[in-house]
Amino acid sequence: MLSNKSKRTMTIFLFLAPALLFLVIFLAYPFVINIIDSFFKSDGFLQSEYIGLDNYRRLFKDPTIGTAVKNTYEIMFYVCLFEVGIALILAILVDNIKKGQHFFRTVYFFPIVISATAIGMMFKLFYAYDIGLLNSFMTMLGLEKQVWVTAESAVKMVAIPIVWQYVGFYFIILLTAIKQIPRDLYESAYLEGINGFTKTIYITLPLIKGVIITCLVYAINGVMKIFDLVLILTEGGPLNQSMVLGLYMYKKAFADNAFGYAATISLLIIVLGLATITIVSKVFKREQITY
Amino acid sequence: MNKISKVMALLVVLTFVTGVFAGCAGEKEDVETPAATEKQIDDNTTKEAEPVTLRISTMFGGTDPSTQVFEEQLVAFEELHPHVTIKNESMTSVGDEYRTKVKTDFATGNEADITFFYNGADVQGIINSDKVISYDEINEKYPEVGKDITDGVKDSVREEDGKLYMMPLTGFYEGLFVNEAIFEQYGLELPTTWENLITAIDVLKENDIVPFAGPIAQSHYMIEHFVLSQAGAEGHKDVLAGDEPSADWVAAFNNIKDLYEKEAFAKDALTMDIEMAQNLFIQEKAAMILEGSWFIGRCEDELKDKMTVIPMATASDKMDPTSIIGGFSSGYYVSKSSYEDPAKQQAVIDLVSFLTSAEAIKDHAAVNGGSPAAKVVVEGLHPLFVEGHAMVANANTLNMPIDSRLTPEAFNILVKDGIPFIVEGRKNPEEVLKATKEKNER
Repeated sequence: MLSNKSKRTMTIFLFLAPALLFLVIFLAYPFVINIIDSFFKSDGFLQSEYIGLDNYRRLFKDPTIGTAVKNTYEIMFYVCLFEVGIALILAILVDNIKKGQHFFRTVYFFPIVISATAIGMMFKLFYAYDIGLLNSFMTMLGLEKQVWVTAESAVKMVAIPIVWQYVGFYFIILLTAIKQIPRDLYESAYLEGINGFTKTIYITLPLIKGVIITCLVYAINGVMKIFDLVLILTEGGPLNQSMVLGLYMYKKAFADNAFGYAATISLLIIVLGLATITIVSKVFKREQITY
Repeated sequence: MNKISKVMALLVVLTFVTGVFAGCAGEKEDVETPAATEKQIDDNTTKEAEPVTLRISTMFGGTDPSTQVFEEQLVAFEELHPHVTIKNESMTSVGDEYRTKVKTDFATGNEADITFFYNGADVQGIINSDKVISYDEINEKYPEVGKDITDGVKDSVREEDGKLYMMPLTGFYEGLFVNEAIFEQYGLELPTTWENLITAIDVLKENDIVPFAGPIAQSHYMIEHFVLSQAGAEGHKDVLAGDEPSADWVAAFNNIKDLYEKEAFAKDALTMDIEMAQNLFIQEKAAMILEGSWFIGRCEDELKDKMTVIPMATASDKMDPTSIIGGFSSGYYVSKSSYEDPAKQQAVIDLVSFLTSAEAIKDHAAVNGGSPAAKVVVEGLHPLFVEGHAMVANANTLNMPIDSRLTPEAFNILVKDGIPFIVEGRKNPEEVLKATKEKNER
């Protein structure tokens, strides 16, 4: 006969088992296969040949990898600064208005429901030289048309729709966090003579610091997976100057049929993602604040 | 309470496990219908009456000019064979997605019963894996399959092992499409020679017309035409044959660079894709475009009236001025597993026979402008189609595109990591060709 404690443990285990099984089948198993694939020259379909560490040697010599890593971190910087930053400012502003909060919530959240592919296509049409919206404005203003996506500007032009799409997501998370702060904290602070700006600096921001860090972790994690929007918008060009790791992996796998090398790139993405998130978590140590 | 929890947990686990295995097995069950299979083996007479579902995958989807014709053909076939239901998995061939879909399907055993796909390097892995059946074998039992397609065409698409795996519908050609009206407006001669081409570029540029709608980042057609015009038919075939990069290929890439520096392309040519380049020509903002015969289907009649198609201007005396890129590069493949499935065999044969009949080929040729693989007279064609067919008939050599002789990765080095960098002066043709050769050999 099992003790009550053992029965309870078994019940809990049975409840946890489906999710565990799911993770093993759809995450752990493909991950292991991916590691194995990285030692093969494979077209991903019907031909495969063991080549040892060749794919890893190639990874370190490949100039496009360097560009993709640089671009990925550059976009990460823009995302952390502007995506989370703008979302924070908007959340603080919206929290301070009495009417129209629902309106702003809906409007700012709206881009999230549009697929990255559609946003990529939309911005492609904004930037297009001949028929683009931006150049239509330039012509209306009597100015000369511009080539908006150049080798120098490509990564910034790609970062704009990425930031625009997800501002609303972090806005909602941060606004919800701000709403959790007890109002009486603000009321007593007002009695002490605090104003709107100092209220934000000394009360709001410290109390939602944990949520801001969570947003940053999500944002960093998201950047590592970006590929669809860049694929539609620039295909990583011109001259690979807007190439990001996720897209490069996709192109190596599905355009070049170099699945072994693509598997190696995906391992690099995982390693860089884990390293970055670990560093971020260490830099912004979470403090448990209770109120 | 404890018992209820345990029962619930067990139910959750069972549901999940059943769900996973049912999910994995679901599609197979739908396709094989084992009961029906056994019955059909035993009773041949009821074969046609048994319902059967066939999957077909083609490039006749999206904006392809043949999409409507193909869909109508499927409807007509289903009306003639009410027991056959067809799942049309067609999609556009623009980009690499279609290639990937077909190769993934074959690699995972999820291939369609009939697949319209490329020949040459693209299909080699599929043939080597014994996933498609040759028409030589099919014809032993069903000699009527593909009977309308001419022997010459069939022989031209036989693979290295001498077998015929693909039944083509229409051959393609590529050429320089020119807006003759614009050329006439500025008193320009057609760009049949390099000198005429350069003169035209200078004049058109001065008049704010984009001379060449050329997408540098997707320069597939430009690469093969510039190489052909410089290296001629033999040099074009010699994909990186020698130890050192071919001087003709280097010169051909430098020709693209020269035109880029002369601003022969649109200002955003470096980021432009093929569709944007086509639109530039269709909107008559550009005067020339290197395209395939299928491009005619995208143009309105009003524009077709102003257009002509000619071989690429000769850049050296190695190029025969009539030579063009063209041939038969795609056709219907029959999956071996479907052919060997007694429940499907007859339906597959009926469908592929229907789709490769002279009538079906004629319908495709009427809309995509390609040369029909069967001896048919395509009536009512716009004169531009006729001009294209005449160009093919007059060509001393028909040359298959370069990508049919290179691995996808090697060819993409030319397209993605080659031409854009060469025109911007960041790489020279020699290093691009060396990298391409190295990747093609690995």
